Amino acid sequence: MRSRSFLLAREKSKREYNMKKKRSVRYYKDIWKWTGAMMALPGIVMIALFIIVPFFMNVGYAFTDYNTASDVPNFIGFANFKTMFNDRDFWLVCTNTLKLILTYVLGGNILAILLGVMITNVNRKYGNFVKTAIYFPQLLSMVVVGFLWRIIFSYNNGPVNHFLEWIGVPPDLLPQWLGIPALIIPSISVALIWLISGYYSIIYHAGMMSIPMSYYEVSAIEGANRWQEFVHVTLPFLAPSITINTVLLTVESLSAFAVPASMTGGGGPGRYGTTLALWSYTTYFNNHQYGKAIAISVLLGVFAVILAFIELKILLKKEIGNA
Amino acid sequence: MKKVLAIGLVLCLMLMTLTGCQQPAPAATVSDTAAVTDTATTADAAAAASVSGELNVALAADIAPDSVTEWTKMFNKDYPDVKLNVALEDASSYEVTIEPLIAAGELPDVLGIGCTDWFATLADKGYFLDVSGTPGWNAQLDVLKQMYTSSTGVHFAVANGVETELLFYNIDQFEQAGVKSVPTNWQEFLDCCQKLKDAGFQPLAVAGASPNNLGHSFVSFGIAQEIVASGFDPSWNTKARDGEYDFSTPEWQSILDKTVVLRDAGYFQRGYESADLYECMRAVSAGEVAMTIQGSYQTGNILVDGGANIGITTVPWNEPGEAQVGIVIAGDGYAMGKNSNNNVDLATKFFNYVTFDNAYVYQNMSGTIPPWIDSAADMPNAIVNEKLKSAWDASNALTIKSLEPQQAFTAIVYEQVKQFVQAVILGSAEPSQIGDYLNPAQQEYLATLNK
Repeated sequence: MRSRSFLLAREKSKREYNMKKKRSVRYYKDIWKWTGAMMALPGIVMIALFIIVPFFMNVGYAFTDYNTASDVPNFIGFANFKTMFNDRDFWLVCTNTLKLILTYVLGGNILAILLGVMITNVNRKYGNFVKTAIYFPQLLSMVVVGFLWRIIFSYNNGPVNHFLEWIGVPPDLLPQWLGIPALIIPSISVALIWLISGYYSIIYHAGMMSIPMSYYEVSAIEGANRWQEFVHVTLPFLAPSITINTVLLTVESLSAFAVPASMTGGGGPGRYGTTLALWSYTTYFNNHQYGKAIAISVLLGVFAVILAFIELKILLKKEIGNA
Repeated sequence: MKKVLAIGLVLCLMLMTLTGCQQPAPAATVSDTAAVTDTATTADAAAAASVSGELNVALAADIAPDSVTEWTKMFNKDYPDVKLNVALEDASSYEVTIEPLIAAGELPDVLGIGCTDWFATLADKGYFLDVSGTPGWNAQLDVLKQMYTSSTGVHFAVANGVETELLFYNIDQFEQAGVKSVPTNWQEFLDCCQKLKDAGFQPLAVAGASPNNLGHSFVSFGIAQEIVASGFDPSWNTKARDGEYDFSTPEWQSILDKTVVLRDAGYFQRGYESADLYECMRAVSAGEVAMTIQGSYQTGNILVDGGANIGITTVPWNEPGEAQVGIVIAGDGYAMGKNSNNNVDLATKFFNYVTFDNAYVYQNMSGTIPPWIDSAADMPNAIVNEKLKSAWDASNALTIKSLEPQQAFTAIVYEQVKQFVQAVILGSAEPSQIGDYLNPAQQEYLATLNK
């Protein structure tokens, strides 16, 4: 039989061991916590310095008569916003932007899903080639893409009109893709969709790859055809990808600048090819109305937040598990 | 196999990168294009060699990009101890380069600028040094001196050329259409367009998608005839810069009437609404369209080797019996930036180097009209296209002169001029609506003045 002192000593040693262990876990937890924070710090500083601080500076400048060549910006209240709202082109530019969002988000999502399905179903031999080919436009400069599509849609020498002429459309009926107001924004949208669909199709492809095969097996046993399989299995599981892509596409279409600018020669004819982002740019660099240009960019930011909020509110509800 | 291909691809990319890093050889060096007059004496060379320091310059590389390379090479050779930092500017939008540099307080010692009210405002605010007294300033034409003087009297730049607006026409198509002589007034011009149309040619190339170009051509001559030559208000631009101005008068409402006549008669080329400037010039040089109205600086883009047989003449916007009006355009200029780090002596050396002593480098590569009062004495070896020179002489000899709209209007109003002319071309606005477009912009401009 062991003595009481032995038992007490063993208990003490056990307690000490546990304490030590606890301390050591806490120690490493602390270390890890601080290391993580230190590792994130450069990123946080960069984001604060180049995104958050300029954002709030921008909001501030929208209420001043800021001018590169002026000494001190003076507070002028809502004068810049008033000038912006009173501009004869304000509603036209807003309508253009909304049209672009609608056509771009809808068209971009549909094409990206179709391409995603194609990538997923294509056999392994050609899979990599197809993925590369679809992703390729993403590697091009936006200005190059703008000029490329300007040529494609050219009235006299563009391949689109050459094709229409070849199938028998009389020359007088050939559309001026970048000259008729109603066709300008859809034409820009086509160029943008061509540019980004590869990137978004990869997101959809990743989403499709994560759908468990068992669902497809069950649907096959139940006798579902390919379309029913797509509608009742693939699409519901793609809901999170649709949510993220819709929000990203919306924000992208709001900030679309380089492609519309290079495709339409600065947003024309008139302002029929001008988006809010492009309007802000021309107001700043052509008119030198800095306050007004910044006010437009603030409005753009507000639009982005509101639209993203609405989209998230609606789309998150549709996701499996949130319904 | 895949590894070999991958390694090959990486090597190719590296080689391409290395090749891209090499300094491109100028397409045409000064020695190719002109007889270089080397006036530097041994003493001058020794003096230049003793100069040292650092200079930041920003130069335009648009019409003649090789001129920047050539100047840099020459200056580095002549002043081996001067470190020259060269930034390239886009001549179609100097502001994009200059704005951030001003905001950062790093205005270059010497910089390329445009002749617009924004740069004049910068001069007034003390961003540019006064360059009067430099050889380039003294030698340039009086009209250029006037255009590069700010409202408070700062002489802020020396131009790299002087330009005008001209009518480029296809000589062979004129002959085939039975046009015996170049039109000298509006009626003759309309007859000429009709004859060309009847003969199956497209009469006039219009860059409907380039609002700036529409402003230069149609608005230019509308103002020249209806506002300046008519005597209604020859000094309208000074008044509009200084205060209230009403653009809704009948005279202003009529500046685009002739443009509408041309459009309605079907004299513009097919697809003009979406044609950009370069498409428009290509169509003329390729013989697809008979005429175009362009700045003299576009001569090199229209008179191309192997292209159509093109002639150049003054633009006949005048009614029969009325005088023709010449348009004067200041070429882009060079200014001296003012900042606390300025080495003014050294900056002046480079300024004189490019604006006067070696101005022929840009002139011969761009083929522009030299900006000098006495070109024969100041630039004896200037190479100018003969057709262009005679058209310029004819335009310059006209007694009434008008300014190009981009240089006459303030930036805010000019942006609306572009919108207005495009709206008229598209048929979504009438010429009589000019006041609706320009008057609110004039008010916005005045609001910026009052700050």
